[in-house]
Amino acid sequence: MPRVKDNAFIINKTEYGESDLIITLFTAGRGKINTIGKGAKRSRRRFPGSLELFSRVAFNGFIKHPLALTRMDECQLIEPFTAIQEDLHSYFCGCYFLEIINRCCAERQANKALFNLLNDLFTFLATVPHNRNFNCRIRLFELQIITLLGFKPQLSSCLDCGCELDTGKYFNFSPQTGGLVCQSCQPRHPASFSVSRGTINMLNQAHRLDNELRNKLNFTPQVERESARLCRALLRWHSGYNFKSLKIMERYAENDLPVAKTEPALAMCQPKSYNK
Amino acid sequence: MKSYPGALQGLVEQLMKLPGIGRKTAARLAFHMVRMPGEDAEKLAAAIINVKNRLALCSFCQNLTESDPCPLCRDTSRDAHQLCVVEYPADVASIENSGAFKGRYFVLHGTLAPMQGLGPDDLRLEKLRRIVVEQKISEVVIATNPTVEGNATALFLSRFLQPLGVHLSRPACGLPVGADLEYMDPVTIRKSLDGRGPL
Repeated sequence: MPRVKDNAFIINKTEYGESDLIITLFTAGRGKINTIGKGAKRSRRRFPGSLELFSRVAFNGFIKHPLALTRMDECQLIEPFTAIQEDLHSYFCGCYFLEIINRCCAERQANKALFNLLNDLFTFLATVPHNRNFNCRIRLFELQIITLLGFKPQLSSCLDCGCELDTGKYFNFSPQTGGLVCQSCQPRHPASFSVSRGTINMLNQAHRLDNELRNKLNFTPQVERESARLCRALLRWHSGYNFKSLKIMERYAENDLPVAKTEPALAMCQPKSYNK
Repeated sequence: MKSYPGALQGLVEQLMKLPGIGRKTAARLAFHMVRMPGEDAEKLAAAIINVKNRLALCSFCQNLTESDPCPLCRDTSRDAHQLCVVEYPADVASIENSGAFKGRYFVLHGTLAPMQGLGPDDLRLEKLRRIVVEQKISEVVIATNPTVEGNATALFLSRFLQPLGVHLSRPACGLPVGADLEYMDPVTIRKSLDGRGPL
């Protein structure tokens, strides 16, 4: 079976045994693959500081069997994106996207466009200062990832009866069908929720524009809120999974992280029992 | 597996629950236990039960201990105004073995790892805040691991503790003793040069 040499992003890692690591990579040529790094926690020569989340690496491995874990022999750091961990908002957002890729991508399905998008996303998280446009860009990345994963929402006609939707201030979005449903079909889609025309127009525009123009879009708070709900409902429906990092990311976005005060706060975090 | 006697099968299944132990390793360990002298087997069983019954968390530092407060917190020769925050109990042992720190400890029992669902609420923050305020801590050394999760946790803790006006520090990052520059990654080299000291 073949030796593998590819560029990849580290999207997850789990300790295994005394010094091994199971590392999930998103590679440029093979998509998501799970690898095992024997002695990875100890070997500085084969894995010199390269097994951290978000890092872009050049990895060298060996596929013994198509269904088995790929053996990672060596991993060289190309770009660590260290600035992501120096900002909590970027870190939480980055973790959310890593979780999406880890949960929604099938193994060994190459997706070069998604690889390039991840590179753009991490570069953005590592370099762009936070302003109002930050959340808008995050929504756009979310939408692009959904599209590249094959879950692009249908936002022009009713997906149930096929009628054109061009009137009304609000539309119904059904995550199960992956798009809009008209008013008469809505009772058959109990999980659907309403989305404003402005949001639908903005999302349709975001799909049509090229990268440069898309990055200049600016969402109103309502569009931002509704598009976030739409994207997350869609991802949750397709993956069947509640993203753990989403709750923490949303909490940070609301500036709700605890800060120590000299007097104890009433709603302060309670310690949990030792269970490790 | 079906040919194993019930007792052996039960032992294999229990051993398989341990991290990093699969069916084959569990069977190998179980057969070793079958062959070991009865006295040793009793000692092993007693040690496991003792660990579960006797160990608890120190009410001060949250480290594992048999007595509360733990020997480190009871030691009056230690600097009571310096606090070292670490991720896990094993980190306390590592720093103690170095003999380089003579203050008190606080164990977080985790890091900010959103992908595992670990957020600020899982870090025993209220206990940490109370210790810093009540013990009049002057310096907090945030000694979480220099990983992505560890660095993010250190950043979060620095934001969390800043209003208390304590001096916050972090262990230096850089080249390990006996390292070869040729095999060092660019991030480590950059960090070691950023934190270089005078000769």
